[in-house]
Amino acid sequence: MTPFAQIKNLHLSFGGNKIIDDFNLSINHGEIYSIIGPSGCGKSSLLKVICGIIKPQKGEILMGSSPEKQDPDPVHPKKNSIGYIPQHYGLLDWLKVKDNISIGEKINHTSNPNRDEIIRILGIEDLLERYPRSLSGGQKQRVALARSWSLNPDILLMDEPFSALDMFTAETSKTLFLNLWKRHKTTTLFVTHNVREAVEIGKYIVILSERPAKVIEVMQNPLFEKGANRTEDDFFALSKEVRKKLQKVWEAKS
Amino acid sequence: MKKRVISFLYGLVIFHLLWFIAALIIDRKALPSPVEVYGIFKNVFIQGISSHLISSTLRIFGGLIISLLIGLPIGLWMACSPKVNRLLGPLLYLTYPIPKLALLPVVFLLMGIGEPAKITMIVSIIIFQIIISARDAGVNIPHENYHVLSSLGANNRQKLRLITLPAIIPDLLTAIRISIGTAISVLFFTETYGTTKGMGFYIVDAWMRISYVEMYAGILVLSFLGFLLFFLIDILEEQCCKWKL
Repeated sequence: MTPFAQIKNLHLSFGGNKIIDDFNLSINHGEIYSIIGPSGCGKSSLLKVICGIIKPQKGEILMGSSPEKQDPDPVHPKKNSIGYIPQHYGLLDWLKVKDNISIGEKINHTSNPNRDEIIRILGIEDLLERYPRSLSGGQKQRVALARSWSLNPDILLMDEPFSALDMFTAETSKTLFLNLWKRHKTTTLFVTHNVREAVEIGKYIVILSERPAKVIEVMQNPLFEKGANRTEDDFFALSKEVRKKLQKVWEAKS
Repeated sequence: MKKRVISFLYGLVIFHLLWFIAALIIDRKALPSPVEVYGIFKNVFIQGISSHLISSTLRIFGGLIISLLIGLPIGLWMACSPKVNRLLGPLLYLTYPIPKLALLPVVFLLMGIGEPAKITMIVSIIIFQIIISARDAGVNIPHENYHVLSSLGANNRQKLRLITLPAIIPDLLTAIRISIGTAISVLFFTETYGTTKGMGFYIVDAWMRISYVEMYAGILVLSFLGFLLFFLIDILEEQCCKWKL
């Protein structure tokens, strides 16, 4: 199977500081990748490179459903529809929730017939006429999810979307996210520094080194398919394994 | 809205009451009572105070529009380019505190005493507030907003329209509110030179003719103009800044 996206030999530095170094990753279509690494290792920068906000010094990112479609400069939102959710959601305070959700469609002059369904699944029908400043963290996050999803994106990039939420809200948001994902199967890169989240969300768990970010290992998550049927013991064991690997990486560095 | 009307009426009543009492106590021609002044209001309009009012209003709006057209791009340019900010910042810092009224003779010498000089004086006051507020508000817009729109494929024009302008409007309105009072004062001053149209001319002319009642009528009309502009900004703020509440 041809990977949906390939990140090849990516290098990024700011003012002489290496942020990402020789980064390689193949991304399959319709899967969720949890990308886990220590705070400040360059995870957020990686997402920004993928969605075309930052230009890397070296390397390429190929995206598209078949090799012919993977042209050498694909990281352009006009060619691939990208759903990017930054850490603080990036909602526009001066637009009502409904306008925030449809902003991507407005920019690209498209219209998604599934938008209402997405809004319903996320349970934000009652918030449409409100402004973001009057929303709680969890509500903002759901609006940001709706904004990204209503574009029907080729790839969804999420930058620690649950880290600013309290535990209960985060749990609800994760469930909503997974429900929505199961319907649309959007290829997703999910960045986190939380082992539990990485194991809960990702079918693949990508372990990153300390800065400059580099892929250490891509683990397949056997619990992903089990969904609700997984046991706490399985979950605990896998979390422990990931944690151990991370520790090894970080200890080796120090 | 209802609250605002009530508080406005309340202020109006208190103001006229104090004026009335002061006129009674002082009891001189130099301070006629409000009854006298309002008594000649109809005559004042028949004699054509409106044309003076229109001239002054046009000058203020002209100054405001020119200030926005020049100040807004400069402020935003400074906000998005640290280099430009470093280049223009010190100049702004140096020239901002200069009392602009002191430049009146210079402007008159360079531009003559006609319309351009009068509008330039208004611009010299409002434009600094606009540049500074556009720059500061522009700098404070979270980068995440731009990142999201970039990832959605927005071009620079769309980002300007969807993010930058709406984000800075509240601060811009505050800046205009702060500067418009001073702008009217300076306009008054410039209108006492080289023109026979404008509220400044009207008031000073009445003063010279020792027609104090007319002078006060002129002052009232000019005050109403100031108040109307304030009220307009309030309405705009209410419409554009609902999201801030």
